[in-house]
Amino acid sequence: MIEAAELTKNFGLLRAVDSVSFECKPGEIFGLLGPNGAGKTTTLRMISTVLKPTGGTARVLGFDVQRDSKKVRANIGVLSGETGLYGRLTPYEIVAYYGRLHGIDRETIERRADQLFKMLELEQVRDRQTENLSKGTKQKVAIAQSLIHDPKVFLFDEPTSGLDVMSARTVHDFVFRCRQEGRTIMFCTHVMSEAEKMCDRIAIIDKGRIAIVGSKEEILSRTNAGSLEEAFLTVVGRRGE
Amino acid sequence: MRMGAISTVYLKEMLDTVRDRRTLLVMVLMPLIFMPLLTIGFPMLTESQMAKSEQKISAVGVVGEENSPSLMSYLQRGANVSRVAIEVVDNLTAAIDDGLVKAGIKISEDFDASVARGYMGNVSIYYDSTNLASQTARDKIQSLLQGFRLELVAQRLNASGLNLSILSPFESGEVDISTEQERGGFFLGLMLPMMLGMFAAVGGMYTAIDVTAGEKERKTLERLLVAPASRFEIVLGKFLAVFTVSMVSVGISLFSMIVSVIVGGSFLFPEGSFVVRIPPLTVVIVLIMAALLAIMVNSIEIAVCMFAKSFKEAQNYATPVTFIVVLPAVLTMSMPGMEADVSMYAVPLVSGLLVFKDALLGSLVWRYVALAVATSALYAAVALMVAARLFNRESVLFRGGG
Repeated sequence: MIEAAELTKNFGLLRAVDSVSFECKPGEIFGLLGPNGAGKTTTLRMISTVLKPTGGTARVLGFDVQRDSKKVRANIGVLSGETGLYGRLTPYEIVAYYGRLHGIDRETIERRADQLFKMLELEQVRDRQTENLSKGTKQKVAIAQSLIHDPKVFLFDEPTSGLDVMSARTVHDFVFRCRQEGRTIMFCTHVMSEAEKMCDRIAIIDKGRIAIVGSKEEILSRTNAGSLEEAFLTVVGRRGE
Repeated sequence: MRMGAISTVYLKEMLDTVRDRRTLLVMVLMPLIFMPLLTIGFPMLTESQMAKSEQKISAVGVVGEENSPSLMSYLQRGANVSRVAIEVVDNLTAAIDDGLVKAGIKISEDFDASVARGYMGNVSIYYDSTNLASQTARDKIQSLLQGFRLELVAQRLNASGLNLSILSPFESGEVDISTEQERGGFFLGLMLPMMLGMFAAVGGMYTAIDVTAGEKERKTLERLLVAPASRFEIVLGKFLAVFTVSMVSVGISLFSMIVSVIVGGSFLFPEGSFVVRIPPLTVVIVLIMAALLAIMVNSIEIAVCMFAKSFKEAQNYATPVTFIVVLPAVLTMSMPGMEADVSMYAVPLVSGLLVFKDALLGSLVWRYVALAVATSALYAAVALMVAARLFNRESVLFRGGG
């Protein structure tokens, strides 16, 4: 469960996120859809405790992102298309590193890593240096890394950007699988079709503010639009005038 | 603060470093190559170059040779021993400029006449002060003329029935009271402070860049910040890795230098008046000071590199830091006869270099050492705290991004 209430973030004079409120429930994929620079990543970073909110609050599984930031971090997994890996380490070493940072004991790490590598078909590259792997394989390693501590909440930030169709498919399958397992999922993207395909509920965000929230059908009926793209342009265009 | 998180970060950074060829190059190979080169290679090269240029025959031009047959004959006689070749030329300035001769003398018209009457003759030496070979030729001319001068003085004294010794009523000799350790230490003291300071700074530099700006460039930083380790634990783990690399670098350079000095010392001082005896306590103090120096510099490096968005940018920032360390070293070493007063032992970085120097000269003053250690520890702690605080600043971690 993620609850954001009046979440606000200023960078100097610029208000990057402006009084954003929403709720994201377990077993649901909640989408944050907006153009680049709309405030998606900043919102996600406040929820993942990397950035401190200027105003408002957010809670993850009931833990406040400022007061209980460590507990929040212990329960979230983050996957971004931008996420890099340590090139000189092997996939196993990378996954084990995050496992240890989460305070997981060696045996559990080994057991879980074996499961994850099997699930993601990474067994062949387990002990190869990561810098020599393909982008798709690297993204699989990033998935394994974000799952090592079995987080209940998942934050995805444009997780398929720059991936080929097959690799993007792997990521999408992984997101659906997380939903099936009852995890709470936030999914940020600027790609309409991806939001349409993936999300149960969508918040359209523009210039730091949430313009509209609801299921795809709700958004379409409230904006009198025929497609999500049309609805998006209506909402964003209206705000831009 | 959890030791587990710190050691996890530390071990990962060490593993990453050991697999990085660039770091290994700077940390291990550079001290291993540079130390012998600087301690033995360059002094030997300089010495052999100097010897060579002294041995080489210098062409010396003469104008006005007809004015003093006696001086000419003296020059011709001494030419071989003084390694010069006398050539008569028309214009000295042009001849030196054209490289026909390296230097020259102009004998005044009334030279022989003045000397014969017991007055002063006049000779001008022409040379080019911007040319080393010309300077060497000038020195050779000077010593030849000095010989001729003495010969003339002896003749004049003889004519008056006096002995040459009337000009030197007594002789003076020199006794060097420095001990062998001091001489060895002096030689080391010239090089070692700068080298130790440099390797404390440069040895860990790549690791400092890699664990900060490198994380940003690879886009691994955010994922690390989302782990439950606190930022202080992360920065401490990273710092310890940089510090380890620095100290390994210092250790290797210290070892390499001592070995090269012991081996090279016998080349440079074949008469055996050179002994390097470094008591274990001195080594311990040098290492403690090097460690404090490294903590200070590494913390500054981490703080500075954290601002950078890329490896390249960080390199641009970190290089001046190296200069800041090396500069006071050069200054303390190059100031002739500088007597460091007690306040100098409280100046960051300089104090460490002074203690290195004192330790090597065997002239440690314990009060000063205590002051240097205490103040350096304080500065080191402050620098580390600043680095840790910066790691908490969003504007530093996400500078110019997202």
